[in-house]
Amino acid sequence: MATETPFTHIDPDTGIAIPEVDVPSQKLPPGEWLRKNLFNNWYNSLITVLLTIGVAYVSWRVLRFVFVTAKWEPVRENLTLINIGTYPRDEQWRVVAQVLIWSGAAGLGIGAAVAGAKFRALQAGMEYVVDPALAKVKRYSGLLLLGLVFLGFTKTFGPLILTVVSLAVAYALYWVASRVAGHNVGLLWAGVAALMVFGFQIVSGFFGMGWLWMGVPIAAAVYSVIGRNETIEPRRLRLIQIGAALGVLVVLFVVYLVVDSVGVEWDEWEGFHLNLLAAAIAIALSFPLGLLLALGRRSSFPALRIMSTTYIEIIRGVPLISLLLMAQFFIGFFLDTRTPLSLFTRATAAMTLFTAAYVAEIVRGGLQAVPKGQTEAGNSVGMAPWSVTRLIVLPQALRAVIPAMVGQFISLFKDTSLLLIIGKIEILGAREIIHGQEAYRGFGIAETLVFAAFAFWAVSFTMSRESQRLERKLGVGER
Amino acid sequence: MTSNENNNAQAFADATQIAGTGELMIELEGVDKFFGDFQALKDIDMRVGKQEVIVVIGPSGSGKSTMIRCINRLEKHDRGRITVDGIELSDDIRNIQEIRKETGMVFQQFNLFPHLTVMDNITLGPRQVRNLPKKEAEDLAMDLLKRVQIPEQARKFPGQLSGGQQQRVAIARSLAMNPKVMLFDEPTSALDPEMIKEVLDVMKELAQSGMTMIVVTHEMGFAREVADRVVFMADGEIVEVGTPEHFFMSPTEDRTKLFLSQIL
Ligand SMILES: Nc1ncnc2c1ncn2[C@@H]1O[C@H](COP(=O)(O)OP(=O)(O)O)[C@@H](O)[C@H]1O
Ligand SMILES: [Mg+2]
Repeated sequence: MATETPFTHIDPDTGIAIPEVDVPSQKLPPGEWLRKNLFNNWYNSLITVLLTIGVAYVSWRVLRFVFVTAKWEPVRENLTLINIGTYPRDEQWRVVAQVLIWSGAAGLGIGAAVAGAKFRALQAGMEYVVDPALAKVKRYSGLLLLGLVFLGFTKTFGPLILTVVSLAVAYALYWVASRVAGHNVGLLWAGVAALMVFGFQIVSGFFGMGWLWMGVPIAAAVYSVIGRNETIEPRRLRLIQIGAALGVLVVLFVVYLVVDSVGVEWDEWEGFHLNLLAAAIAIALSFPLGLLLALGRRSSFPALRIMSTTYIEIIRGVPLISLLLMAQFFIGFFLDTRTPLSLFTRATAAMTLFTAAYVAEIVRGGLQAVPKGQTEAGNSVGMAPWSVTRLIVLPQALRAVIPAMVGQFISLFKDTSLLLIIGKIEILGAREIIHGQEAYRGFGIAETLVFAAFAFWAVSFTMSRESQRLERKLGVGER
Repeated sequence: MTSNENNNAQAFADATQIAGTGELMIELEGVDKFFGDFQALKDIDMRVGKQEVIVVIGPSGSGKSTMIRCINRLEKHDRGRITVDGIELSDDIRNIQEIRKETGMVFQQFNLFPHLTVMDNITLGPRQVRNLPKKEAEDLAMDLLKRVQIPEQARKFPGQLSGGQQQRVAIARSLAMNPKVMLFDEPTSALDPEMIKEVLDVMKELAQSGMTMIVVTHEMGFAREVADRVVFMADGEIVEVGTPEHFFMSPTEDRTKLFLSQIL
């Protein structure tokens, strides 16, 4: 009966066939390899020799700088300043708690991904392949290096203890999550979302819209648990789900009225912490906004289409820095000058609006890449246009554009350094405070800059590695 | 099917006289379709009876796909009327969806959803459109997978299946909507020769079960064996209609004769 066709490799997450990537290459002995690739004729030999000398010289200078001549005291003495700027020191526990909570979220998330992949592999009758440990170390080498350098600079045991405890928390949650039954993975993801938001909540305090922030992931979890019922009609089920989700929001609203409402203003977030938070929020918000814009641009309603297109083209035509400056000064022209929004909020909004336009164009490219036959197949079973987009076209489109999207987010993360220009003390601003100190005026300027650049690099490099992995996993460009 | 050849040739002098149970299922009246200035369908008149199997043949570019794609509004016809099971196709999206619910379509390129398992490919329509609970939809899908003989592939992804298996999943996906009509657009043209039979067998079984079908195909064996009527199209027109016997033994039109001489 059914015979299996030979296929190279199928990703259990996506079902997309991936031609075997690492075809074993002919390994040459080192001497042979050198001769064949680097010394195969006179000018290649010359280039090889010159480049070797050049690389050796630069490496020597860099290593000598890092390990011999560099004066790292300004960094070493100001680690807290670099990390959180002038964030109120009494409230520092919030940052510590946030680190712990987010470590937990990361562990839970990785565990959820593993549990999901195992489950899908099992269902599709395939073997679940574990990543070799070395590959993981390589993938996270940027963050590992940053962590080691940081710990090397610390003088108390606090950071070391925090690191160990965070890793332990992450591992424990990973261990539990990766053993959860596959069909419960959705709940784990809701847990990840709740923890992430909880981390934000801790660092800013429980006031304002906190109930909504916390409520959304929890409501989503409740919604999905109820949605698991397999015997109620979908339409009735959806009503029950929505009712329960709203109920959760109401309950949380009441709870938040009661619990402590002391907090830290968002404008007090500073240092590298600020770069990370601003990027995280702008990424989380620009994605859905960009998605809507992309759909708007393809919509059959002319008004929506024109509005989306105009927005995208205007935003893509202006530099981010001009938007940030507008967010700083200009908003007063549109709103009230005594605007209640914090500078942080306005700046993050500017970055979100900016990035959303690029995300929209990236997503639009993905939408165009989905074959027309997919929409027709959805239409031909009588599905409503929005269901076809949501359940058939979008999932395929988004998978195809993950690498481009991550690239945009990396760029956004690095652009958070522009917050310096509107007077926010992000990591480069913290550097200016350092060099304002008596002891370090005009001293170690290159060193603090190198350290800041290294911190940006470590995070960006990890994001980029992660996206490469996704790219390979999803077989993008190989379909 | 009646046996008298002369009767048949006369009975089907045009495409509006139906076989099957005698009740009308699909009706096309004076349908025109333009792509820009190019007229792809020219005044098409056709009626299909309940439980009837129509095979449409004709040279490439003659408008076969366009015609059946107009029936479920994947293409919008420019003039004329199309009626399916008493519902006339109009611009109203609800109306279009009503007709699409009753009309399954199987494509040359299968068009399975690559990001969903076989099971989810089949249950998506019933759950979204027919509002079936998950459990019920999955039971239904399993029954259909048994019917197309691949129940063991339920949890796999389309990319893991052979072409023949994929096309059978596509048929199951259409059947899951419990359609009254099935449209096939060259369902075996993208398949390797050794897989054509398994798909045709499923289609034959479907025809025997009393499904109303319009099949665009180049499989003359299938036409001979299963069709109640064969419709020959060329240049956007219906040139000749007849029973398979009439069609393959004594075609009357020159264009039909020429086409048959080329492919047989
Ligand atoms: N979307 C389209 N745009 C322009 N021309 C089209 C389109 N679809 C089909 N055609 C033209 O209409 C004619 C009929 O096409 P089609 O119905 O696909 O033929 P068949 O299925 O018989 O091979 C062809 O000449 C084809 O080029
Ligand atoms: Mg065709």
